[in-house]
Amino acid sequence: MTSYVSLPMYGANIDERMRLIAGKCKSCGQLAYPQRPVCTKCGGDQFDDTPLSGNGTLYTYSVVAGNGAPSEFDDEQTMTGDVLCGVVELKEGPRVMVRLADVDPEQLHIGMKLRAVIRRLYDQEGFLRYGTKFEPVGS
Amino acid sequence: MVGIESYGAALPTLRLPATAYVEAWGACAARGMKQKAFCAYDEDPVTLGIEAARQALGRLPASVEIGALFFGVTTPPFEEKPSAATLPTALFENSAMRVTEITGSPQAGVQALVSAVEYCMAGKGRYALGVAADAPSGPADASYEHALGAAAVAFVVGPDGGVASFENSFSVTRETFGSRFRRHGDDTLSDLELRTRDNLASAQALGAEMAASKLGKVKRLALGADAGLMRGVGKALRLPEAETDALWSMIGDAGSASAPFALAAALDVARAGEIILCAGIGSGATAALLAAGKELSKRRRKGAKVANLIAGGKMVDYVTYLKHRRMLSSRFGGNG
Repeated sequence: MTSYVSLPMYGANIDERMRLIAGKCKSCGQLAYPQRPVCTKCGGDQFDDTPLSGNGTLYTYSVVAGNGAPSEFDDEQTMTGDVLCGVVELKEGPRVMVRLADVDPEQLHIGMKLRAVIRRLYDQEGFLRYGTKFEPVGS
Repeated sequence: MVGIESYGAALPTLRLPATAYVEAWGACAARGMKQKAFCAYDEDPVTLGIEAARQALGRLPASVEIGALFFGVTTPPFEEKPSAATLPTALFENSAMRVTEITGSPQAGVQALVSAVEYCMAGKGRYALGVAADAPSGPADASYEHALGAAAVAFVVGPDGGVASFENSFSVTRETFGSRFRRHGDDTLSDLELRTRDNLASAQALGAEMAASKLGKVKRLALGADAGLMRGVGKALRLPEAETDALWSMIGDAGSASAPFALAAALDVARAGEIILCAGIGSGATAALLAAGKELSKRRRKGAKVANLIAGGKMVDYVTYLKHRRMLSSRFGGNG
């Protein structure tokens, strides 16, 4: 959810990205998000689509400063400064690496409540990629 | 009776005070504007529209099957490839849906609401979503750029009209020359600033059109229009006693979302039975006449009110504004 994705791959899992559709293992019930072909808990390979709430807490974070972000974020970083990334622990359990929105680095703290929002991820190859970022609840 | 079942509004987080223009340019050309809301680097009318729609859908007492989505927007990211298609992708599993993008004038937002109502009235489906979102932009050295802001609002329309029943709609069209236009391929609005007062003329034409119909006692005018137009619009619409909104002074000119956003603000405070006229004005006018419904006070308890959205946000300086709006970027208006 945080870095370059080819357009075919982006198109293939657009629903999963935009609506946070997890895979629920039919064998053990483990949730996988992003979805995977094999369950990391039991090795099962059959999943049911399960929408996630989009609510979670900040598990950890990183501030990518000094134009250190990948090239797809070049212009954004030049215009707006630090790129903020984090791992969100979703209410349903999965931990996801995400971009953070509408928050300054000094406001970040582990455990803060976050919610999913749709934002432009980046604009490359003539095409906009929309996807899910997380922002502080109440921002 | 067909009407609005739920509504939701969204504003970007970032705000620019009018004083920023005074400091940068010596004056703010948007007289009467105190501040405006504007899109951050990663926001646009699509992301705002999705947020407003999520708020509206979240206020419903139970989920409903949306059969159509009408998106009113003058600044869609794509000229071809429907930007509106991104909304249902983010909102619904179901793709069997009529999705229509309405654009080309500040009327587009109210036209989206009226289209959603007429879709339901025609019996094509029970529920439809009307979304208005906009973030107009202008050249940094143009005085009309000072007012340009951003906002979004969404209305779930259905058979019961619990929040507001639809009473009537009115439209007038007016060819305009030199005021607020954008040629094919242009990234920013143009305005020759001829001071022809086209919007007031459109409002007068709308007033004449409405005079032939029985409106009832219109309590509120939801226009979201600039301070100049608001001074004379009550008389122009032949509704001098109706209360007008002052949202423009706090969020700026949100294009096609201005009037629907003002409607959301009116619904936040209206009492059951009050008559509200929502009119999008520009190159003509489109108006929706609504009566606040019995479910309104219950449905609006959940979710953010417009006043709270306006009170929130983060104030930034002029250079930060220019950067977020890509106005200092070599990629302004182009692809990344």
